[in-house]
Amino acid sequence: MKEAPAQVVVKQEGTRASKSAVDQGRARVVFMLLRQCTWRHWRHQPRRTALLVLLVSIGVSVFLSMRLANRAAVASFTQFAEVLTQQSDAVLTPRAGLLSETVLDQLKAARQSEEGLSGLEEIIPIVETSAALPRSRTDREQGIGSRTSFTLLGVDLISLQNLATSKNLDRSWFSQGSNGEAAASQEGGFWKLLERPTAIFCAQSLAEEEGLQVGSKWSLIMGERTVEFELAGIIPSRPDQPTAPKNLLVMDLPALQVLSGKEGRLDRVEFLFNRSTRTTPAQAERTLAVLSRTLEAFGNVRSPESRQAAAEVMTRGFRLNLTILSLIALLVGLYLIFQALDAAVVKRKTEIGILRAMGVTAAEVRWAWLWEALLLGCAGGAAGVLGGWALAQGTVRAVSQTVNTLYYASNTTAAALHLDEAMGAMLLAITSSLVAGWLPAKRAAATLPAQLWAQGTGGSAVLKTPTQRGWLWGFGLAAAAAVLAFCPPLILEGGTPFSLAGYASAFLGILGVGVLAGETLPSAGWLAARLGKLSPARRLANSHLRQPSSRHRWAVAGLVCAIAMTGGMAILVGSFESSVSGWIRLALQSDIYITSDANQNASANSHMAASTWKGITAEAAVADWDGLLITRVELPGGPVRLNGTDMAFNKRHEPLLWLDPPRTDAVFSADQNEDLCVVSESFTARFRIYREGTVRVPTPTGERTLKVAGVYTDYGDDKGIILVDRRHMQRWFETDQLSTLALVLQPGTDAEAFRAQTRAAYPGLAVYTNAHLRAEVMRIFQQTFAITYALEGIGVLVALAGLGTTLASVLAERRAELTTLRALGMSHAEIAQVAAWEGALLSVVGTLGGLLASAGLGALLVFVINKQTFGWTLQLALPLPPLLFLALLIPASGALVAWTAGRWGADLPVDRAD
Amino acid sequence: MHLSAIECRLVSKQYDARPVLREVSLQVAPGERLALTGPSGSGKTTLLNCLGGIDRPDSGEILIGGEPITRMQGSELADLRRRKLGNIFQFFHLLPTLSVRENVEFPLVLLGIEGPERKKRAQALLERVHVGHRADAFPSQLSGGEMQRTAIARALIHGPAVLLADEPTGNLDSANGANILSLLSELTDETKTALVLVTHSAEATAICHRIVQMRDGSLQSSGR
Amino acid sequence: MGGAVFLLSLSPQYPCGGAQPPLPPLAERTADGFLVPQPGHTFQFPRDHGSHPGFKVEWWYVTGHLFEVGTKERFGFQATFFRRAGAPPGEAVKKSGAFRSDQLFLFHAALLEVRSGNFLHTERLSRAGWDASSAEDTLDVQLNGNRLFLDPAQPETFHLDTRIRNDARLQLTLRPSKPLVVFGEDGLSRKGDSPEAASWYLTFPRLAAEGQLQFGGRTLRIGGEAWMDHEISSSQLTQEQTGWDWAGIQFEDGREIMVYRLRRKDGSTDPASALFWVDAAGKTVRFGADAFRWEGAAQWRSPRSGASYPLPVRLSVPDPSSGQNADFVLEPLGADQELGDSGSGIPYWEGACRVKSNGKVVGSAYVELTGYAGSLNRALK
Repeated sequence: MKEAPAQVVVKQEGTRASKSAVDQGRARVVFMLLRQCTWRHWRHQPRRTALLVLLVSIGVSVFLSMRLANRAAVASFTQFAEVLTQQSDAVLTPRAGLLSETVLDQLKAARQSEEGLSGLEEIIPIVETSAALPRSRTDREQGIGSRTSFTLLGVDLISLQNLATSKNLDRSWFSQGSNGEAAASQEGGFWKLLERPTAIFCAQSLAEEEGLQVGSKWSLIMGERTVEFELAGIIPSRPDQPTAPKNLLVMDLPALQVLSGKEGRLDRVEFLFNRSTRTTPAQAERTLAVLSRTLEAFGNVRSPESRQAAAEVMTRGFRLNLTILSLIALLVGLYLIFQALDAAVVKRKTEIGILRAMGVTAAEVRWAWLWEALLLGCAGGAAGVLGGWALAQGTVRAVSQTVNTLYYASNTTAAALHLDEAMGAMLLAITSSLVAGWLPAKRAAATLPAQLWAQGTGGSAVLKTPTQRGWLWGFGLAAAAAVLAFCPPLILEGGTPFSLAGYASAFLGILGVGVLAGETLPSAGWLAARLGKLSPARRLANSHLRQPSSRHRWAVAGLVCAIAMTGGMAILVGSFESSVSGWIRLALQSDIYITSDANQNASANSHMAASTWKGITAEAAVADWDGLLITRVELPGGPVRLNGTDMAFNKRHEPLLWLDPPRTDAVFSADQNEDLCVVSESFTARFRIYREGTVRVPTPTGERTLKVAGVYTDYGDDKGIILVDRRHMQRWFETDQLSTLALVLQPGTDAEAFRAQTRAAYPGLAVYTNAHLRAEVMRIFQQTFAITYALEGIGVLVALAGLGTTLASVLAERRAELTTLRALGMSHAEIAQVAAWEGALLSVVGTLGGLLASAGLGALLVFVINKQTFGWTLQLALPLPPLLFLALLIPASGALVAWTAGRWGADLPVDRAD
Repeated sequence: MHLSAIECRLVSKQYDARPVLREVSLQVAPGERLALTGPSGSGKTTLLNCLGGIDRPDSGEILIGGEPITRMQGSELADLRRRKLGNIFQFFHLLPTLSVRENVEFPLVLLGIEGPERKKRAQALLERVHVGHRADAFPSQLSGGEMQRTAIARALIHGPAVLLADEPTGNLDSANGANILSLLSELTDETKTALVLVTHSAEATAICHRIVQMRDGSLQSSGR
Repeated sequence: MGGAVFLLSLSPQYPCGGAQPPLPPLAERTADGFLVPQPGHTFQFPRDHGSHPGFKVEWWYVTGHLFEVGTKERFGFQATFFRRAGAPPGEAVKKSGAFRSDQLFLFHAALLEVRSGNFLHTERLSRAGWDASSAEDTLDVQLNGNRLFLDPAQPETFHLDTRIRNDARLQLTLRPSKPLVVFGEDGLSRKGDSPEAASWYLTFPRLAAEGQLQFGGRTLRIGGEAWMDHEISSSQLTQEQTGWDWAGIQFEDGREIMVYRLRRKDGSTDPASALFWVDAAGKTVRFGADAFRWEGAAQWRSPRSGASYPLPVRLSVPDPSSGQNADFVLEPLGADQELGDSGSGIPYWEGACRVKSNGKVVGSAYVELTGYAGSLNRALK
């Protein structure tokens, strides 16, 4: 026994601290943990920390870039006129066709007599049409949508002067290019300008790009001809005015009426209220209501916000899908963050145990980890926002092109970073990190320290889910997914269906299969142990899977998710391609297709004059032909296409792919089909009007009540088409123009020669042979899915990266085992092989699970999500090449990645803490 | 001031249906040094962990300084550990990202002791255990002996009523081991801290007032 | 005569007093193909109150002094409709439909609330079509809801309905209290030595006005006297002329004066300037440029355009009834009555004045001063 040594003053701290003191101390302790433990860990391992930040940021970048690109593409739906008139307060649009100029007389009378219109300050009639740059010098047909399209806006340029006057805007550009000097010779020289029927004004940016000056001559395709315009002036860009978009051209209204064949007609009328009405919502509402009532017979009066909203609705389905898809990357990233944070917890669980042993509470440990997750989320989010913005510049072009081709004119090339989107992305990053970090932290904090240490450093689970629960969870999720797959879609504002249950089903299904795949790891190890002769490396690898850690499970789940998404999308795309190919084979049977070359986007609607199409169809080489008249009408549920076709031609050649064929042939005979129509599948999905139902269609000559005789499939449109006999439609719309021609040539006629000859005779027309048009349609579809492919690729890469990091961290914790293996005489290569086999096994399990999930997801996408969103019925097709490719690529890559991790791990020095 | 620093009544515990502690009862007086010996698997480490509140017995009661820790939860237990318990481990278990000084100060930080006072006490104790010259080094830079001396300082800085040591010399050479034991003996005498020492080492038992043997989860004998 | 700068049409007059070099013969058409008013024209009404599209410029100009019934609150108003042809007759421009290119209309209106000096004015440009038109068979000219027209049911009763943005609406019935005057020799007014410079200048120098004014949230019953000009021509200012000063004076004794002083570049008065007395029966007596004197008693500077207008005006002219020289001071009822300054036009001063002689108020007037903010010539090209 020892003697009492010299005294050292050590006070006895025996009294219990008060509860409030403990609470106060919590924040202090947490902060100290962050400062002295977390921060120093980060500093000592900058690469690992950077990787964590990177994982968060990748997911956020991809998601944000999709959102920004979507937003830019939609924002490009400007109403153009606001550049000249500033934002209008109301807009009158016809329900069908065009407005008659007589609406202005009505307005004039109403303004004098109606008290409720005292707040109406300006009436701005507008004519709008589209034009495109002529093709390049080669005679070859270029791709649809490949040339810049312009919006030609016709406004009363005299009347615009009044706006300038009352709003003190600079309109001196009106006087450019006219005789006399600028401001002083306003209307005098300006007047001369109105006498020039092809005088136009364009934006500064366009003038610079095309090298135009006042007086330059410039040709564009309008309708079916080339028109030579004269640049009368340039709209300058000024900081205090909305900038004129590059594709906006302004003309005097009557001149554009003549050029576009719209004499006596208008496309719409915009209204400006006076300031007091505009700034008093109740007054603005009242004025809008009076306008609506007064002009009821002419069309719909709406605020511009609701028009913008209508445009958004048009593309909502498409954009939502893109956004959901972009969540793939985020989801896979989430898995990775979870794994990474879980690994960090495991690595530091000794430390956690020590802290707990010294009296740090579970709550303090948890708070410290949550803060760490939060900080990682912030850093990752910030990096993600920057990355997302950069990435958006690349994706916006693709999105915009698709919108342009499928919906309306859009040629945005830059995506701006909006504050609300950036904030949303940050929030997402932080939430993901918190969600990912929560569970590991909670479990680590709650477990008793002794058990933490007893779990050893072998990398085994912080989360040790008893196996029964795992199977239960897995099957439970899969069952929930199955139930959700049968739920109907959510109908959003504007009538857009959103397949919420479908997406939820996809999410839960993938999660379920992921969990189940994790549960099968021991069985996989068992099975692998019985295949062939077992090397020491294989034995060891199998043994690790007998009790897989949570990180093994999550790595597998990540692979399942990525592969399921990739495979599922491949199945959807494959089904789509197969269905579309089949549809094209049937629908495109004619030899030659002709339309105006100005039709470069979905909202362009240039027509051919009767003289033109009559001249072409009268050619001796033409054996049979059909002409399509395409327009948009406004039904109570939204805008829809109304197409006029030669129904007898359709009977002869049967290009329509029927879902519900007509019961009799009455709809094919012009004598009997005046009150009959057929509709597309998307129409029935959207308006819930089926065969034998009735649809009321507005036309300039009155409303027509039509009975639906049949339903057909059309993959070119997701908003619905009503098809009627062209002869009646031309009468209803008082026009003899046509939008497109389809020609069947005499047997033996050289289609290419006919094409070239027609092009030469009508330079303003686009003439496609059958082969070329088919190729174009497929190209457009592929373009639509281009982004999807990119996203899938990212998802797979991220999952593989996750596999690598998992194995690396698992290896790092098996340091003691590595020493033993080396002591036993295993070489570095053999040790690497252990990891490789382990990785390969994980990849195989992940791939099999993923392929299984992808089959389910593919079916879900084809039969549920796609059908509910776009209303199309597709034939399910399993594209074997991409699936096989996945099945081989992933395990191989997984093994390679694991082998690399294994080599790294084998080279780790044992006795140093990393 | 209670009669016993540690009181243990009929404490039992099982791991995976295997009994590890069978109705163990024990008392340790303030300032007493008790050695817990026994073969591997006898349950001595488990008992130590239960005494320290870092593991929980399935049944029975443990009182530290009269406070029944088996009935305590979460922050209450943590609070008791901060005030009344100190731990020394075979594998030292220093916090790797903290320097020697910071490791030693840590318990005082938990108690809310302010900077200057804390630093003064830590420095004094560091000198006492002869690692004052390594105050700014990190655990990865220390030898085994230095690490254990640091661990001792950390375990005693807050003046706990009870010190629990699990094979404190298990990872040290004999010279260092002797040093450590000598330190433990001196410091516990000075502070009247009860010490429960799990050990295989004869030198370790030599500094203790009483030796208790465990076998198969039960106390076999108690004596000097 | 009156009106906005760009629609100026002047012709030289033979003075009553003072020698005038002989004027060249009149052309039938202008160089760009418009008709030139000819002497000896037989005016037919209501047709000649209407539009004459073969001529390049035309305006209908109404000014007046109004008093609220009861309170005698005083207002001055001006409303002018201008027409300008876009292309000579025969040229191919859009002549029909809702958006024509053959005629351009400009409208000016102003209201002065004398008590407060509050001066409201508006200007609007419109092409012929749905929003602006003028009838050819009678007086009915309208632009953006403003209208001046001859009552189809009541001969020689005119109606004016005009809004000044959202701030005021004036609805008047105008009945001539004196016969129509056609200024000039043989029905033709020549204001320069160009063979194209001639106009038909028709004036009702006094009309009884009654109606209502919606202003400041109130509806007021008002009455007073007005002056209406209708001038038709195809000519412009000659090279040497930079602007003019004009006044239409209504005396309390039932007589009127119409005077215009054309100013040359060198600051002197053009010999074509003239002054006309109109007696109670409507007969006119003309005085040439050297028979009367017009000068500014002071200067008023516009804070917006920076132009300096010679106001008040001192007018000295022989009085045919007394044979003596009469001196009048035309004092603005409000200093700031400048128009046309809203960014696109040429500013000019057009305002209600009181007329004093020997310190006593003897009548009311409307005075127009043009060409003080930059040369008019540039604007007229």
